[in-house]
Amino acid sequence: MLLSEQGDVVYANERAQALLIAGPEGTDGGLIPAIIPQLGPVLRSSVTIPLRVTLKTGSVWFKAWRVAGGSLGVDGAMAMLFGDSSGVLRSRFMVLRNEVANIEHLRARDLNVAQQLRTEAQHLRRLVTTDQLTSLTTGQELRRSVTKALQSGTKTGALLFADLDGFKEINDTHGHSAGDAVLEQVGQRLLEHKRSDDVSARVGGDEFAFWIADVDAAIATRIAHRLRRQIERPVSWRTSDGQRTELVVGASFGIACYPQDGADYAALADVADARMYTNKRDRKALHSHSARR
Amino acid sequence: MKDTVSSQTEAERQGLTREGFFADMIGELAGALEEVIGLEDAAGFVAMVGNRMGDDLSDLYAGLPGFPTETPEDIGRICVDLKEKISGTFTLDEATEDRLIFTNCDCPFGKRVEGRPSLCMMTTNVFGRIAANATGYARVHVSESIAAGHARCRVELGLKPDDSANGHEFFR
Repeated sequence: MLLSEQGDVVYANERAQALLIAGPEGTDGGLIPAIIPQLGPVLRSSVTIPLRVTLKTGSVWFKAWRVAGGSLGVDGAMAMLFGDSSGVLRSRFMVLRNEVANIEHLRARDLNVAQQLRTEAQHLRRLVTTDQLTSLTTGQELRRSVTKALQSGTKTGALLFADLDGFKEINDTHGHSAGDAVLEQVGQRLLEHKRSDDVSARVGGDEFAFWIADVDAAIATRIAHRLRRQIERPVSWRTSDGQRTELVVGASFGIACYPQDGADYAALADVADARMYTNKRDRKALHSHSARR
Repeated sequence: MKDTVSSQTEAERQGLTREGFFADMIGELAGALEEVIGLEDAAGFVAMVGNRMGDDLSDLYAGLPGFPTETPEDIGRICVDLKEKISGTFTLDEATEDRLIFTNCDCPFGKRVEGRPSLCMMTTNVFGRIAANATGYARVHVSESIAAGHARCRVELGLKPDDSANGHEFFR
Protein backbone atom coordinates (compact mmCIF):
# COMPACT_ATOMS: atom_id res chain seq x y z
CA MET A 1 0.00 0.00 0.00
CA LEU A 2 0.95 3.60 -0.53
CA LEU A 3 0.76 6.09 2.31
CA SER A 4 1.14 9.86 2.18
CA GLU A 5 3.57 11.68 4.44
CA GLN A 6 0.68 12.13 6.87
CA GLY A 7 -0.21 8.45 6.86
CA ASP A 8 -3.26 8.62 4.63
CA VAL A 9 -3.82 5.54 2.53
CA VAL A 10 -3.35 6.60 -1.08
CA TYR A 11 -3.61 3.11 -2.50
CA ALA A 12 -4.10 -0.36 -1.09
CA ASN A 13 -4.21 -3.59 -3.05
CA GLU A 14 -6.59 -6.41 -2.18
CA ARG A 15 -4.33 -7.94 0.42
CA ALA A 16 -3.63 -4.59 2.02
CA GLN A 17 -7.33 -3.81 2.07
CA ALA A 18 -7.90 -7.03 3.94
CA LEU A 19 -5.32 -5.93 6.49
CA LEU A 20 -6.98 -2.58 6.88
CA ILE A 21 -10.26 -4.14 7.97
CA ALA A 22 -8.81 -7.07 9.86
CA GLY A 23 -9.16 -5.38 13.21
CA PRO A 24 -12.17 -5.39 15.58
CA GLU A 25 -15.41 -4.21 13.98
CA GLY A 26 -13.74 -3.86 10.62
CA THR A 27 -11.09 -1.40 11.74
CA ASP A 28 -7.39 -1.63 10.90
CA GLY A 29 -6.66 -2.87 14.42
CA GLY A 30 -4.20 -0.03 14.96
CA LEU A 31 -2.09 -0.83 11.86
CA ILE A 32 -1.87 2.69 10.37
CA PRO A 33 -1.32 4.44 13.72
CA ALA A 34 1.49 1.97 14.37
CA ILE A 35 3.07 2.65 10.97
CA ILE A 36 2.98 6.45 11.07
CA PRO A 37 5.77 6.93 13.69
CA GLN A 38 8.06 4.85 11.49
CA LEU A 39 7.42 6.75 8.29
CA GLY A 40 10.16 9.33 8.91
CA PRO A 41 13.17 7.16 8.02
CA VAL A 42 11.22 5.67 5.11
CA LEU A 43 10.42 9.05 3.59
CA ARG A 44 13.99 10.33 3.88
CA SER A 45 15.48 7.78 1.51
CA SER A 46 14.67 5.63 -1.47
CA VAL A 47 16.58 2.79 0.14
CA THR A 48 14.33 -0.16 0.96
CA ILE A 49 14.35 -0.76 4.69
CA PRO A 50 12.55 -3.31 6.85
CA LEU A 51 9.59 -2.08 8.83
CA ARG A 52 7.93 -4.09 11.54
CA VAL A 53 4.61 -3.22 13.07
CA THR A 54 3.59 -4.92 16.26
CA LEU A 55 -0.12 -5.33 16.82
CA LYS A 56 -2.08 -7.27 19.41
CA THR A 57 -2.54 -10.04 16.88
CA GLY A 58 1.17 -10.27 16.16
CA SER A 59 3.88 -8.66 14.06
CA VAL A 60 3.47 -7.53 10.48
CA TRP A 61 6.54 -7.04 8.33
CA PHE A 62 6.93 -4.72 5.37
CA LYS A 63 9.65 -3.59 3.07
CA ALA A 64 9.32 0.17 2.81
CA TRP A 65 10.78 2.87 0.63
CA ARG A 66 10.12 6.42 -0.54
CA VAL A 67 8.23 7.10 -3.73
CA ALA A 68 7.85 10.49 -5.40
CA GLY A 69 4.32 11.77 -4.89
CA GLY A 70 4.16 13.42 -8.28
CA SER A 71 3.71 10.05 -9.97
CA LEU A 72 0.20 9.87 -8.53
CA GLY A 73 -0.54 13.54 -8.34
CA VAL A 74 0.15 13.68 -4.62
CA ASP A 75 1.99 16.57 -3.02
CA GLY A 76 5.19 15.58 -1.29
CA ALA A 77 6.51 12.07 -1.04
CA MET A 78 4.80 8.78 -0.35
CA ALA A 79 5.83 5.65 1.44
CA MET A 80 5.47 2.35 -0.37
CA LEU A 81 4.87 -0.54 2.01
CA PHE A 82 5.38 -3.96 0.51
CA GLY A 83 4.22 -6.83 2.67
CA ASP A 84 6.80 -9.52 2.19
CA SER A 85 7.14 -12.11 4.90
CA SER A 86 9.58 -14.25 2.95
CA GLY A 87 12.53 -12.78 4.79
CA VAL A 88 10.82 -13.43 8.10
CA LEU A 89 9.94 -16.96 7.07
CA ARG A 90 13.53 -17.52 5.96
CA SER A 91 14.87 -16.24 9.24
CA ARG A 92 12.41 -18.36 11.24
CA PHE A 93 13.42 -21.38 9.20
CA MET A 94 17.08 -20.68 9.88
CA VAL A 95 16.37 -20.25 13.57
CA LEU A 96 14.50 -23.54 13.61
CA ARG A 97 17.30 -25.22 11.69
CA ASN A 98 19.85 -23.92 14.15
CA GLU A 99 17.68 -25.02 17.05
CA VAL A 100 17.37 -28.49 15.55
CA ALA A 101 21.14 -28.62 15.05
CA ASN A 102 21.60 -27.51 18.64
CA ILE A 103 19.15 -30.13 19.88
CA GLU A 104 20.94 -32.80 17.86
CA HIS A 105 24.24 -31.67 19.31
CA LEU A 106 22.85 -31.77 22.83
CA ARG A 107 21.29 -35.16 22.15
CA ALA A 108 24.60 -36.53 20.89
CA ARG A 109 26.30 -35.10 23.93
CA ASP A 110 23.66 -36.60 26.22
CA LEU A 111 23.98 -39.97 24.47
CA ASN A 112 27.71 -39.77 24.96
CA VAL A 113 27.25 -38.90 28.60
CA ALA A 114 24.70 -41.70 28.97
CA GLN A 115 27.14 -44.17 27.43
CA GLN A 116 29.90 -42.95 29.74
CA LEU A 117 27.56 -43.34 32.70
CA ARG A 118 26.60 -46.86 31.57
CA THR A 119 30.25 -47.78 31.24
CA GLU A 120 30.98 -46.30 34.63
CA ALA A 121 28.00 -48.09 36.15
CA GLN A 122 29.18 -51.38 34.67
CA HIS A 123 32.65 -50.76 36.06
CA LEU A 124 31.25 -49.94 39.49
CA ARG A 125 29.01 -52.99 39.38
CA ARG A 126 32.01 -55.16 38.57
CA LEU A 127 33.89 -53.61 41.48
CA VAL A 128 31.03 -54.31 43.85
CA THR A 129 30.24 -57.83 42.67
CA THR A 130 33.77 -59.08 42.05
CA ASP A 131 36.43 -60.14 44.49
CA GLN A 132 39.46 -58.02 43.61
CA LEU A 133 42.10 -60.64 44.40
CA THR A 134 40.64 -63.64 42.63
CA SER A 135 38.26 -62.01 40.12
CA LEU A 136 35.58 -64.41 41.33
CA THR A 137 32.10 -63.26 42.26
CA THR A 138 31.48 -62.03 45.81
CA GLY A 139 29.36 -63.96 48.30
CA GLN A 140 26.60 -61.37 48.15
CA GLU A 141 26.41 -61.58 44.38
CA LEU A 142 26.36 -65.39 44.59
CA ARG A 143 23.33 -65.26 46.90
CA ARG A 144 21.60 -62.86 44.48
CA SER A 145 22.37 -65.05 41.46
CA VAL A 146 21.15 -68.25 43.13
CA THR A 147 17.97 -66.57 44.36
CA LYS A 148 17.27 -65.25 40.87
CA ALA A 149 17.89 -68.68 39.34
CA LEU A 150 15.51 -70.37 41.77
CA GLN A 151 12.82 -67.73 41.19
CA SER A 152 13.11 -68.07 37.44
CA GLY A 153 12.06 -71.72 37.58
CA THR A 154 15.26 -73.71 37.71
CA LYS A 155 14.35 -77.35 38.26
CA THR A 156 17.61 -78.63 39.71
CA GLY A 157 21.00 -77.38 40.79
CA ALA A 158 23.75 -77.74 43.34
CA LEU A 159 25.43 -75.35 45.76
CA LEU A 160 29.02 -76.36 46.51
CA PHE A 161 31.03 -74.94 49.36
CA ALA A 162 34.82 -75.44 49.44
CA ASP A 163 37.38 -74.65 52.13
CA LEU A 164 41.14 -74.76 51.53
CA ASP A 165 43.12 -77.18 53.68
CA GLY A 166 46.59 -76.06 54.80
CA PHE A 167 46.09 -72.46 53.79
CA LYS A 168 46.78 -71.10 57.27
CA GLU A 169 50.09 -72.96 57.36
CA ILE A 170 51.17 -71.34 54.10
CA ASN A 171 50.42 -67.91 55.50
CA ASP A 172 52.26 -68.72 58.72
CA THR A 173 55.28 -70.16 56.91
CA HIS A 174 55.68 -67.86 53.92
CA GLY A 175 53.62 -64.80 54.76
CA HIS A 176 50.42 -63.32 53.40
CA SER A 177 51.90 -62.58 49.99
CA ALA A 178 52.24 -66.34 49.51
CA GLY A 179 48.68 -66.84 50.65
CA ASP A 180 47.47 -64.19 48.23
CA ALA A 181 49.38 -65.87 45.39
CA VAL A 182 47.63 -69.16 46.17
CA LEU A 183 44.21 -67.53 46.24
CA GLU A 184 44.88 -65.65 43.02
CA GLN A 185 46.01 -68.71 41.08
CA VAL A 186 43.23 -70.89 42.51
CA GLY A 187 40.72 -68.26 41.54
CA GLN A 188 42.07 -68.17 38.00
CA ARG A 189 41.75 -71.94 37.65
CA LEU A 190 38.22 -71.93 38.98
CA LEU A 191 37.24 -69.29 36.45
CA GLU A 192 38.75 -71.30 33.60
CA HIS A 193 36.71 -74.35 34.56
CA LYS A 194 33.40 -72.58 34.99
CA ARG A 195 30.45 -73.04 32.63
CA SER A 196 28.74 -69.91 31.45
CA ASP A 197 25.65 -70.39 33.63
CA ASP A 198 27.58 -71.36 36.73
CA VAL A 199 28.67 -68.93 39.41
CA SER A 200 32.03 -69.22 41.16
CA ALA A 201 32.53 -67.08 44.25
CA ARG A 202 34.97 -66.33 47.00
CA VAL A 203 32.87 -66.19 50.17
CA GLY A 204 35.54 -65.98 52.85
CA GLY A 205 39.28 -65.73 53.42
CA ASP A 206 39.99 -69.17 51.98
CA GLU A 207 36.42 -70.27 51.30
CA PHE A 208 34.79 -70.66 47.92
CA ALA A 209 31.30 -71.47 46.72
CA PHE A 210 29.82 -72.58 43.42
CA TRP A 211 26.33 -72.67 41.98
CA ILE A 212 25.97 -75.34 39.33
CA ALA A 213 22.68 -75.15 37.43
CA ASP A 214 20.70 -78.10 36.02
CA VAL A 215 22.67 -80.91 37.67
CA ASP A 216 21.81 -83.76 40.02
CA ALA A 217 23.82 -85.01 42.99
CA ALA A 218 25.94 -87.41 40.94
CA ILE A 219 27.05 -84.81 38.47
CA ALA A 220 27.60 -82.28 41.22
CA THR A 221 29.88 -84.76 42.96
CA ARG A 222 31.92 -85.29 39.78
CA ILE A 223 32.22 -81.56 39.35
CA ALA A 224 33.39 -81.20 42.94
CA HIS A 225 36.14 -83.78 42.31
CA ARG A 226 37.24 -81.90 39.20
CA LEU A 227 37.36 -78.62 41.05
CA ARG A 228 39.32 -80.22 43.86
CA ARG A 229 41.93 -81.45 41.37
CA GLN A 230 42.32 -77.92 40.04
CA ILE A 231 42.65 -76.43 43.51
CA GLU A 232 45.19 -79.02 44.65
CA ARG A 233 47.55 -78.46 41.69
CA PRO A 234 50.78 -76.89 42.98
CA VAL A 235 50.97 -73.13 42.90
CA SER A 236 54.27 -71.66 41.74
CA TRP A 237 55.55 -68.83 43.93
CA ARG A 238 58.80 -66.89 44.18
CA THR A 239 60.06 -66.12 47.69
CA SER A 240 61.45 -62.74 48.71
CA ASP A 241 65.01 -63.98 48.16
CA GLY A 242 64.19 -65.06 44.63
CA GLN A 243 63.77 -68.77 45.30
CA ARG A 244 60.97 -70.48 43.39
CA THR A 245 58.85 -72.86 45.39
CA GLU A 246 55.62 -74.73 45.00
CA LEU A 247 52.74 -74.20 47.38
CA VAL A 248 50.09 -76.86 47.76
CA VAL A 249 46.68 -76.70 49.40
CA GLY A 250 43.87 -79.22 49.66
CA ALA A 251 40.12 -78.60 49.44
CA SER A 252 37.20 -79.89 51.50
CA PHE A 253 33.82 -79.78 49.77
CA GLY A 254 30.19 -79.74 50.86
CA ILE A 255 27.35 -80.19 48.35
CA ALA A 256 23.68 -79.20 48.75
CA CYS A 257 21.26 -80.12 45.99
CA TYR A 258 18.17 -78.20 44.95
CA PRO A 259 15.36 -78.86 45.66
CA GLN A 260 16.11 -81.84 47.90
CA ASP A 261 18.30 -80.05 50.44
CA GLY A 262 16.54 -76.71 50.54
CA ALA A 263 14.14 -74.39 48.77
CA ASP A 264 16.17 -71.20 48.99
CA TYR A 265 19.76 -70.03 49.17
CA ALA A 266 19.91 -69.84 52.97
CA ALA A 267 18.74 -73.41 53.43
CA LEU A 268 21.08 -74.75 50.74
CA ALA A 269 24.02 -72.81 52.20
CA ASP A 270 23.44 -74.23 55.66
CA VAL A 271 23.48 -77.78 54.30
CA ALA A 272 26.50 -77.23 52.08
CA ASP A 273 28.41 -75.58 54.90
CA ALA A 274 27.70 -78.38 57.32
CA ARG A 275 28.72 -81.05 54.81
CA MET A 276 31.88 -79.16 54.03
CA TYR A 277 32.94 -79.21 57.65
CA THR A 278 32.10 -82.92 57.83
CA ASN A 279 34.31 -83.50 54.81
CA LYS A 280 37.10 -81.43 56.31
CA ARG A 281 36.94 -83.41 59.55
CA ASP A 282 36.92 -86.71 57.69
CA ARG A 283 39.88 -85.71 55.52
CA LYS A 284 41.86 -84.55 58.54
CA ALA A 285 41.19 -87.84 60.30
CA LEU A 286 42.22 -89.77 57.21
CA HIS A 287 45.39 -87.73 56.88
CA SER A 288 46.28 -88.30 60.54
CA HIS A 289 45.65 -92.02 60.18
CA SER A 290 47.89 -92.14 57.09
CA ALA A 291 50.65 -90.20 58.83
CA ARG A 292 50.66 -92.60 61.80
CA ARG A 293 51.10 -95.52 59.45
CA MET B 1 62.65 4.37 25.23
CA LYS B 2 59.92 1.84 25.43
CA ASP B 3 60.40 -1.06 23.07
CA THR B 4 57.10 -1.08 21.14
CA VAL B 5 57.71 -4.53 19.67
CA SER B 6 58.21 -6.24 23.01
CA SER B 7 55.30 -4.34 24.55
CA GLN B 8 52.93 -6.06 22.15
CA THR B 9 51.12 -9.04 23.58
CA GLU B 10 51.37 -12.36 21.83
CA ALA B 11 47.70 -12.01 20.84
CA GLU B 12 48.44 -8.70 19.14
CA ARG B 13 51.38 -10.20 17.32
CA GLN B 14 49.00 -12.84 16.03
CA GLY B 15 46.77 -10.07 14.62
CA LEU B 16 44.21 -9.81 17.43
CA THR B 17 43.46 -6.15 18.06
CA ARG B 18 40.43 -4.27 19.28
CA GLU B 19 39.79 -2.82 15.85
CA GLY B 20 40.25 -6.14 14.15
CA PHE B 21 37.93 -7.84 16.60
CA PHE B 22 35.09 -5.38 16.05
CA ALA B 23 35.63 -5.35 12.30
CA ASP B 24 35.40 -9.14 12.36
CA MET B 25 32.21 -8.93 14.35
CA ILE B 26 30.61 -6.53 11.90
CA GLY B 27 31.66 -8.71 8.99
CA GLU B 28 30.22 -11.82 10.63
CA LEU B 29 26.97 -10.04 11.50
CA ALA B 30 26.56 -8.93 7.92
CA GLY B 31 27.36 -12.41 6.67
CA ALA B 32 24.88 -13.97 9.08
CA LEU B 33 22.17 -11.52 8.02
CA GLU B 34 22.79 -12.21 4.33
CA GLU B 35 22.67 -15.93 4.96
CA VAL B 36 19.52 -15.85 7.07
CA ILE B 37 17.33 -13.25 5.37
CA GLY B 38 19.00 -12.73 1.99
CA LEU B 39 21.15 -10.02 0.52
CA GLU B 40 18.38 -7.58 -0.27
CA ASP B 41 16.87 -7.62 3.20
CA ALA B 42 20.27 -7.63 4.85
CA ALA B 43 21.17 -4.52 2.89
CA GLY B 44 18.01 -2.92 4.25
CA PHE B 45 19.08 -3.54 7.83
CA VAL B 46 22.58 -2.24 7.15
CA ALA B 47 20.99 0.79 5.51
CA MET B 48 19.00 1.51 8.68
CA VAL B 49 22.19 1.47 10.68
CA GLY B 50 24.03 3.59 8.09
CA ASN B 51 21.21 6.11 8.09
CA ARG B 52 21.34 6.57 11.85
CA MET B 53 25.11 6.78 11.86
CA GLY B 54 24.97 9.27 9.00
CA ASP B 55 22.72 11.50 11.10
CA ASP B 56 25.10 11.27 14.04
CA LEU B 57 28.12 12.01 11.86
CA SER B 58 26.35 14.95 10.23
CA ASP B 59 25.80 16.43 13.67
CA LEU B 60 29.41 15.70 14.61
CA TYR B 61 30.92 17.46 11.61
CA ALA B 62 28.43 20.33 11.89
CA GLY B 63 29.97 21.09 15.26
CA LEU B 64 33.60 20.89 14.11
CA PRO B 65 35.41 24.04 12.98
CA GLY B 66 37.06 23.66 9.61
CA PHE B 67 34.31 21.57 8.06
CA PRO B 68 31.82 23.83 6.32
CA THR B 69 29.18 22.40 4.02
CA GLU B 70 28.80 25.26 1.57
CA THR B 71 30.29 23.75 -1.56
CA PRO B 72 30.50 20.32 -3.16
CA GLU B 73 34.20 20.25 -2.27
CA ASP B 74 33.25 20.83 1.36
CA ILE B 75 30.95 17.78 1.28
CA GLY B 76 33.67 15.77 -0.39
CA ARG B 77 36.22 16.81 2.21
CA ILE B 78 33.96 15.62 5.02
CA CYS B 79 33.45 12.24 3.36
CA VAL B 80 37.17 11.76 2.75
CA ASP B 81 38.04 12.84 6.27
CA LEU B 82 35.47 10.48 7.72
CA LYS B 83 36.92 7.54 5.80
CA GLU B 84 40.47 8.46 6.82
CA LYS B 85 39.44 8.52 10.46
CA ILE B 86 38.30 4.91 10.19
CA SER B 87 41.33 3.72 8.22
CA GLY B 88 39.84 3.89 4.75
CA THR B 89 41.64 5.65 1.89
CA PHE B 90 39.00 7.35 -0.22
CA THR B 91 40.09 9.92 -2.75
CA LEU B 92 37.88 12.66 -4.18
CA ASP B 93 38.40 12.27 -7.91
CA GLU B 94 35.79 14.71 -9.17
CA ALA B 95 33.79 17.52 -7.58
CA THR B 96 31.22 19.56 -9.56
CA GLU B 97 27.93 21.26 -8.76
CA ASP B 98 26.19 18.13 -9.98
CA ARG B 99 28.20 15.35 -8.43
CA LEU B 100 31.15 14.02 -6.51
CA ILE B 101 33.09 10.89 -7.40
CA PHE B 102 35.15 8.99 -4.85
CA THR B 103 37.45 6.03 -5.36
CA ASN B 104 39.45 3.88 -3.00
CA CYS B 105 41.57 0.75 -3.03
CA ASP B 106 41.32 -0.02 0.66
CA CYS B 107 38.10 -0.62 2.56
CA PRO B 108 37.81 0.19 6.27
CA PHE B 109 36.45 -3.32 6.76
CA GLY B 110 39.48 -4.79 5.07
CA LYS B 111 39.20 -8.29 3.66
CA ARG B 112 36.05 -8.89 5.68
CA VAL B 113 34.01 -6.98 3.13
CA GLU B 114 34.75 -9.47 0.35
CA GLY B 115 31.60 -11.37 -0.50
CA ARG B 116 29.49 -9.17 1.77
CA PRO B 117 28.03 -6.48 -0.49
CA SER B 118 25.41 -5.54 2.11
CA LEU B 119 28.16 -3.65 3.92
CA CYS B 120 28.38 -1.24 1.00
CA MET B 121 25.07 0.16 2.22
CA MET B 122 27.00 1.66 5.11
CA THR B 123 28.95 3.91 2.76
CA THR B 124 25.87 4.55 0.65
CA ASN B 125 23.76 5.66 3.59
CA VAL B 126 26.44 7.53 5.51
CA PHE B 127 27.54 9.55 2.45
CA GLY B 128 23.95 10.05 1.34
CA ARG B 129 22.77 11.18 4.76
CA ILE B 130 25.66 13.58 5.30
CA ALA B 131 25.20 15.15 1.87
CA ALA B 132 21.39 15.28 2.05
CA ASN B 133 21.41 16.84 5.51
CA ALA B 134 23.76 19.51 4.22
CA THR B 135 22.20 20.27 0.83
CA GLY B 136 18.68 18.82 1.00
CA TYR B 137 19.24 16.09 -1.57
CA ALA B 138 21.76 13.38 -2.47
CA ARG B 139 21.87 10.34 -4.66
CA VAL B 140 24.49 7.61 -4.11
CA HIS B 141 25.49 4.92 -6.56
CA VAL B 142 28.29 2.46 -5.83
CA SER B 143 29.37 1.53 -9.35
CA GLU B 144 32.33 -0.60 -8.28
CA SER B 145 33.03 -2.29 -4.97
CA ILE B 146 35.69 -4.50 -3.45
CA ALA B 147 32.84 -6.41 -1.83
CA ALA B 148 31.55 -7.38 -5.27
CA GLY B 149 34.98 -8.44 -6.44
CA HIS B 150 36.22 -5.27 -8.11
CA ALA B 151 39.71 -4.01 -7.61
CA ARG B 152 38.47 -0.77 -6.07
CA CYS B 153 35.38 1.04 -4.81
CA ARG B 154 33.88 3.84 -6.91
CA VAL B 155 31.12 5.92 -5.35
CA GLU B 156 29.11 8.50 -7.28
CA LEU B 157 27.41 11.07 -5.06
CA GLY B 158 24.84 13.08 -7.05
CA LEU B 159 23.91 16.47 -5.65
CA LYS B 160 21.00 17.24 -7.96
CA PRO B 161 17.98 15.13 -8.89
CA ASP B 162 18.41 13.26 -12.14
CA ASP B 163 15.75 10.79 -13.24
CA SER B 164 18.15 9.09 -15.62
CA ALA B 165 20.77 8.42 -12.98
CA ASN B 166 21.14 5.25 -10.89
CA GLY B 167 21.41 5.17 -7.15
CA HIS B 168 19.59 5.56 -3.87
CA GLU B 169 18.15 8.96 -3.08
CA PHE B 170 18.35 10.80 0.20
CA PHE B 171 16.36 13.79 1.43
CA ARG B 172 16.75 16.06 4.38
